[in-house]
Amino acid sequence: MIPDTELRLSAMLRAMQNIVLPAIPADNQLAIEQASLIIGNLVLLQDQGGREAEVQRGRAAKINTLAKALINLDPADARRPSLDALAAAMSLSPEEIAIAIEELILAECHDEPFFAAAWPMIMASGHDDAEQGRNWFKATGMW
Amino acid sequence: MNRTETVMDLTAIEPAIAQMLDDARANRAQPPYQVRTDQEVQASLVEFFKQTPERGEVTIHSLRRMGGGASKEQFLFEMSKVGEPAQQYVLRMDPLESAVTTCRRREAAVLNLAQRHMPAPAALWSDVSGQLLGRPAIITNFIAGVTKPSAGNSNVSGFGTTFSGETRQKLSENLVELLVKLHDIDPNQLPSDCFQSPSDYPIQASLWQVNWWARAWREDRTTGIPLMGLAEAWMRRHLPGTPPQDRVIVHSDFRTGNFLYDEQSLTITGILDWELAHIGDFHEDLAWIALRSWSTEENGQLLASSLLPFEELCARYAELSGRTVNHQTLHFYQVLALYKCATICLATSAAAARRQHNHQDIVLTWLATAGHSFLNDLHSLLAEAESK
Repeated sequence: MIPDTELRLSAMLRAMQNIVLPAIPADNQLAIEQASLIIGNLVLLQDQGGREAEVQRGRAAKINTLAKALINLDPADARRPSLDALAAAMSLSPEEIAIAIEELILAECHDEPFFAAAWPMIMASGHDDAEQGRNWFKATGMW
Repeated sequence: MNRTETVMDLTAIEPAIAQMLDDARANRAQPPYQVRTDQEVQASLVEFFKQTPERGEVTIHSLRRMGGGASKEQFLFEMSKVGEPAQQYVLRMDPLESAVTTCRRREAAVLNLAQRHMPAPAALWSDVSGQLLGRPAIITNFIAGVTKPSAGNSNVSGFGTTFSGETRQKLSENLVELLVKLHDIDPNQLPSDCFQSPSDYPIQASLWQVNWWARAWREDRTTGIPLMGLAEAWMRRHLPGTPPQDRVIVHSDFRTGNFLYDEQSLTITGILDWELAHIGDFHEDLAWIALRSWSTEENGQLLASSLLPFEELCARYAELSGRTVNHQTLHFYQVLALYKCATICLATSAAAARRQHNHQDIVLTWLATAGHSFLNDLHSLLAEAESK
């Protein structure tokens, strides 16, 4: 579609950098800061290349996989309320499934065998998730 | 209650903090925050002082908004009265919501105690209900100084600040001395109506902190993050004890970005941002200083708050304070610190911005992105714990 998102982003960036920011009085630190953050966000959006929906889908799939693996840790005849809650959450949004996973690990944190089995699964998922988040926002320059 | 029941008691929080979090819930249903003009703020200050017995009729001038900081609306202004020279003051005012939920009454109380012992602003006046100034607020004296080198380049709130060698040496000595001074203040001097101390029950200090931040996470998150659940579980399984002599006033945000210094003399002129202060374990402040986000690396070594190696910080603190730094307890508070940061960024900041309840939603959304870096560091610390 003309103009495409990439063109619009670069045009907004130039406008902010070359016109808007220089026009702000030097003693208006708040406006300078906010304008700078707008520029930063435009750079981020350029870097992210419109892939947010794709990234969210990937994240949802990983949460789903983790939830199923946790449910399968226990045989079906040894039900726990927290696992039942997670199983019930599987029909809900990825956000709610992830909350149910949090509640599960907290509820079972004194069950040594379960906790020991769940630990590496959640750590692996946590590492992937955190890495993906860092990469997604690396253009902030904060790390 | 046995230990398992105790560590899973989510209601065990400092009562004043529980009340503060309860009160904050009332703001959530409010419409988007309308930022007032400088003229409106100036007029409210004039009215406020009119009703303050020792001030009366005053002239407010040169009022301007201060940049920086996502937690408060801050204004610098001059106030003069007939027969008195004009003085500079800082108005710190709550937006509807911010990166953290805090209490102006607590802030005023801890400031007025701390500034008797160390360079810190004094809370000269306060409007904790917000009836006169429009929002809960305190007014402090102005302290000159910078939070980062004038010629430097860093991101928001102390992230990425670097110092030259001489600056680092002098500031680090000063900073450790001031931390020890803070921790040497008797916490019982804080007013008990707004600060409660953990009891002698060994794990109460750490449990109160986990419950505070776990509650903030649960109430503000819009999505679950399994790693946060795991971190909370790990903390409950590893709550350290705090002997009575290790209970101190914890600043809770003691780091580069939160102190002012004079660039000529390289001395610290003021410690800022006391709003998260509470009575707790001294290890909490040590752990916070060294978080990676406001630390830098030099020759492969992490400089805590871009000032000095973490081991050296702990050694100097121990030597000056006479306290023993327990590395297991320190590790716990490092995990807690990252859990708090992740909560602040990915839950509370994002939620406040989504509800348009802040004067700087864009700062909050920028800050929120840092949450992923904190999660990465949290993962590393938990992996380290597992491998021990």
